[in-house]
Amino acid sequence: MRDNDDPLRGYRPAGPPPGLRARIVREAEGARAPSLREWLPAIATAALIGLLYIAATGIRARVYSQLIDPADVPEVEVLSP
Amino acid sequence: MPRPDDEWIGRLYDRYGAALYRYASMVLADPAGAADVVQTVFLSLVRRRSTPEFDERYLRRAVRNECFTALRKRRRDVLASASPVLEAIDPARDRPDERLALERALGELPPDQREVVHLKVVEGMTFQEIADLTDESINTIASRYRYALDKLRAHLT
Repeated sequence: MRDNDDPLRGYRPAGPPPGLRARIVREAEGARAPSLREWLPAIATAALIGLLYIAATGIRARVYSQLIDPADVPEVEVLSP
Repeated sequence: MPRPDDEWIGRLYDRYGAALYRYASMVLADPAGAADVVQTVFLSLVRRRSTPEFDERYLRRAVRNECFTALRKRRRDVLASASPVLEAIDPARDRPDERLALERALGELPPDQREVVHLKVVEGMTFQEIADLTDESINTIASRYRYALDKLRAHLT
């Protein structure tokens, strides 16, 4: 080695590629923005709740339609033998 | 117009990015790997969504940890890369044959020896400061530096 005081002989590690800063800033924006994937479980849960509510409403209407209003039931007279 | 967070990460990169990249590039002897390491560290800061109070010491440690994780994963110290690891401080004195020989010699060193050479020669840190950063004894660091110089000398003569 020519010079023990400078083992790198006047060289140093090369600097970063010019596009690295832009790459990091761009990726940082993506890392912060909430993605659709993050919201997917919440959207699916809301959709399921909506479907169940609609189905329950239909069933409830059908059950009510089959029930007889007590006011419509004719009185029955029970005769003793 | 960029959002404030973009300016924050950009400013942090402007302040520390080049030095951290050079450090990673020397430890890995791989410029492409160094770019990935620096990007990983900066994005991990963004994902924390915490107050951006990171000093150089913290960032250097994070880059160091990421470098050695990358080295463990790839199982090889040196990968062929199209980008040069070194550049002349004074471009007028650049001698490509000498630079390539030095790159090859550095590539033959273990990463922890390259790291000590970088921190001592390029960053101008003392052995004590390097020992603090690497959690090693000052004697270990001094030995690594001496071994590294001996090996470089052997490769370059």
